[in-house]
Formats: sequence, C-alpha cells, structure tokens
Amino acid sequence: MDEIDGRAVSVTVNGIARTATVPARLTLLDCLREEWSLTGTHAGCEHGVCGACTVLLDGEPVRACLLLAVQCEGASVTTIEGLAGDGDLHPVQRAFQECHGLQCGFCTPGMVLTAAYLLGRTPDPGEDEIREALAGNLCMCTGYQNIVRAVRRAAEGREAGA
Amino acid sequence: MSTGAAAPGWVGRALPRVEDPRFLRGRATYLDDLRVPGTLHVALLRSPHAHARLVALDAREARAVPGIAALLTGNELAATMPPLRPLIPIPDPPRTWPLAVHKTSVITRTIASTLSSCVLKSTHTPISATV
Repeated sequence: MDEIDGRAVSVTVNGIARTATVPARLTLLDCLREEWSLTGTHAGCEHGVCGACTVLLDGEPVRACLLLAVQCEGASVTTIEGLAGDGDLHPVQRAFQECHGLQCGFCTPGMVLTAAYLLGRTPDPGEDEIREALAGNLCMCTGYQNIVRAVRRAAEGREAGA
Repeated sequence: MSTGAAAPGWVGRALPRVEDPRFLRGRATYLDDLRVPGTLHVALLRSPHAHARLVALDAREARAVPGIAALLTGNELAATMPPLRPLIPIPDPPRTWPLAVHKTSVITRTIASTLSSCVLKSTHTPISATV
C-alpha cells in the first residue's frame, strides 16, 4: 500500500486518540463517519455550502467535507457527539430544544457547533451577529427564526418558559 | 410557542419533543448512517450549464473501473423508455427523459448516473462530458 492509498493519520476526536490508515483523498467527514463511526457529523452538500458537516478543529469551526483527514494529523477535533458527551445537554443544545430550534435535525449538529463557537467568542451576540455567524449553515426545514431565538436564549441562559 | 402560561389546558401548549436529545447529541440514525451489506451507491453527473447542448459523453473509462455495477447515459436510457409524459396535456410536448439526451434544460439536469458498490469509487469515476 503506497502513500496515496493508505496513510496513517492520528487525530484526537472528542478527547479520544483516534488512528486510521486512509486514502490521502479521504475527507475528514468520511473519516469521522466511516472509519470512526461518528455519524453525528452529516454529509449534506459535500462541497462546503450547507454547513451540515461543521466540526471544531482546534476550536475553530471548519467544513469536514472540505478537509482531508490527513490534513488533520495531530489536531484536536470536536464533533457534536463530543460537545456534551454523556453528560447534561450543552447550554446551546438545551436552548435548541426549548426553542424548537430543530425539526428533522439534519443541520442541527453544524448549527449547534457553530453557535457554541460564536458564544465562546461573543457571549452576548445581537440578532444580526447570530444571523451572520450562522449564514454558512443551511436549514431546509426553514427553522431559522427559532434557531436564532435558541442562540439568544443560550446567550441569556434563560430557563424554559421564562 | 410561549402560550403555556395563558392556556392551562393542553391545547396550544408547547411540549418539549422527546426525540430532540438524540438529534442534538448526534445520535439520531439517518438513512446515510445505515450500513446494509450489498448496498450500491449512485453517483450523478450534472450539467455545469443551465441550458446547453450535450456535445460528447465518454464513459468508457468509467465503465472499466472495478466495482462499477452499472453506468447509464441519457441515450441508453432513452432507448429503453418513451419520453416522460408532461404533467398537463399540451400540444407538441417536449421530448425529455430523466437523464439529459441531447441538451440540458435546467441547471441540475443529470447527464449520467453510475451504480457502484463503493461510494468513493463512484464519486471519483472518470466520465468526460462536453456541454
């Protein structure tokens, strides 16, 4: 097996060291889903438009469909499975549930990770900032109003029904 | 969504969805998450132009790729079926098929499709199309 068909890659995914021997052309998206069975990261458009495959690479949101797995050698990746782990829902996840910020849930992992990143940098974003930050994440259920509300609620840390 | 306080009964009250946690944690199961042995994957070649003549299509190299179960071009499909019937009866309806035959008429018009035992192979199948 040559370097093109099989290259060793080591990535820390959700705090766990993962390794795989993958074709150089394999995307991080396919590596997460196929090699490591982390199917929470979704394949939508597969060309960087829809944001369904968004993961955090060393803390920054990236399109897993536009990155090769081998480019992530030594990096730390957070997927939706790792945001809260087995514990309580992350405040953003909880706010999405409270505000009905999801229907089919396909765009949700990318939305939630992008929103979590936004709130990490901008704890109190205005609606325009939220919409700008989420502009690269498409929702085909057209749930944007509730998604924006969910991010605001996560920022405010409000309880359900408040 | 916030009428619960005003409505003491169940009508109009927002309820938390029981299915949300699995969606929010990335643990839901979608069709693409299933691994069924023997599944074939289809790849579609689309036109880069909204309205263009299909000048040439060379799928010989693609057919020779190991793992390709089937490859279908518009001409081959048209030889097996009549044109699609228009949704409403119109005089002299356009003769169109599910795959583009002589020209592409909408931007997402599909030129050819392959069925493959491996999605990686099908998405890297070499088909040359001139439109």
